Formats: sequence, structure tokens, C-alpha cells
Amino acid sequence: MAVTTPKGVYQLPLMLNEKSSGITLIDSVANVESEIVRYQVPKKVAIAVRAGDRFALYLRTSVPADITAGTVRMYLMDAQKATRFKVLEAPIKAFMAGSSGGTFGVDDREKRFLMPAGFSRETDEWLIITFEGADVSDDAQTKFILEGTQFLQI
Amino acid sequence: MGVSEEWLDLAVMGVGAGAKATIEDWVATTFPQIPTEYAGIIAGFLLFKFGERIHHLVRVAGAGVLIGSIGQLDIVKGIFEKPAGASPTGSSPQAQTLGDLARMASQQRVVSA
Repeated sequence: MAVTTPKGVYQLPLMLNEKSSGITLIDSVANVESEIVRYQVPKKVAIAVRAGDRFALYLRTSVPADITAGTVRMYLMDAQKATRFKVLEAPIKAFMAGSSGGTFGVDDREKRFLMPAGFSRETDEWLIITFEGADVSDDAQTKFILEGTQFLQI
Repeated sequence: MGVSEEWLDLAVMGVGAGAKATIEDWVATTFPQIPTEYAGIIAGFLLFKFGERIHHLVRVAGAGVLIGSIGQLDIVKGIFEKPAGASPTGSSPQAQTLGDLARMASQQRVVSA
């Protein structure tokens, strides 16, 4: 019997992290607002982060040592990166969820940052996280988790 | 052209129009640089223009794809006034893009237990 793949639009949970497809991690530059996480939404996918979804970010230097001072910002950009809108800005400690000593503290979901408002991105658009601080974050040490929901067209 | 041939052409044209979405998907996947809204028109035009070299019915099917694509253009849909309460695509439910769905979802609030 032939098995056909069902076609349609699916809504599934979104759990973006440093290993997700479409994610690019970059080292920061000392005392300069630098892009450390870039996410381009894949083809036939749209994502939504709602008020109340959770976010956590843990940055370390290449030593490695925890980075506990500096400012993290999150931006939304169009596919051409012509316009950008800031949706989040706070000290890094607000997003660390108790992480330390190389342990990304995401076991307790309640400790993660609560997103204050929702936003959405569709195919080819960008979600960018920047860091500005004296310490240089190492891309290989960067860990984050962003919850949401996604729509896939199959 | 006999009557039966005319009916065959009409049926094949209908098949072409029906296959518009599938052809658009294929073009969009194979040539992602082509905007999705033009994929059907471009594919339909190429089939209509050069399909004769393969078979007469390929050209007819291309005409169907082209007609279906032109009918879906916003500028064409705007010509016809819709009766109150009607969906933009006639009897079909209102089409939503993934972006529309995501935008609506982003307005919701997650309630933690």
C-alpha cells in the first residue's frame, strides 16, 4: 500500500537553541554591540513568540568564564535586514536563569526570562540577539533557549 | 478541430489550472529566487510558449496554469466586487499565509501553570 505524506499547515512547539537549524553563533567584540546569535526563518516556516514564552541565554568567554555583566538585546529584521525593531533589552543577568560554572540552568523553566510581549517572523526574516559588554563571548560557549510556536507548510 | 478534441483541450486546460499550486510549489522549491506569486505565471507562460515542442496538450495545460495564475492576481480579484460575507476566493475558505497564522499566534498569551 502506498503511503502518502499528508499536506497542509502544522502548528508545532518551537524550541530554538544554539543547535537549531538556521542558527548562526558569532563571537562578540569587547565594548561594542555585536550580533552573537542570528536566526533566519527557514522556507515554508513562520514562528511566533508569545507573551509568556520563556527565554534564557548563557554566555561565556573562551577561557571559559561566565559573563555576568553587559547588555543583551533582541531585534527583529526583515529578510534584507533593511529595518530592525528592538523587542528586548536587559542586563545579561536577567536572562541567565541561574546558569553558572558551565551549567546552563534551564532545568527550572520558571527561572527563565518571561517574554513581555509577542512577535512573529516569517520565511527568510531574521531574529538577532546582540551582546554589548567588556567580556568577549565565545560562540562555542553560547547557549540559549527560546520558546514559541511554529507553523510549517508541508 | 473536432468537437471531442475541443472538449479534450478544455479538460486538459482544467487539469493545468488545477495543477497550478503543485507547479508553483515545484518552481518555488527548485528556483527559490523566483517570487512565489510569479512562479505560476512564469511556469504557465513557458509551458504555453514552448510546450508545443513536446506535445500539443502540454501547451494547452500551460494555458490552464497561466489562466489560473492570472485569476489569482490581486489586481484581477479586485475587479470583481464581492458580495457581503463572501470569502475572497469565492467558495473556498479565506486563504491564510504562514505569516498571518504566526502574527495571530504572537498576539496570544501563554499562561503558565
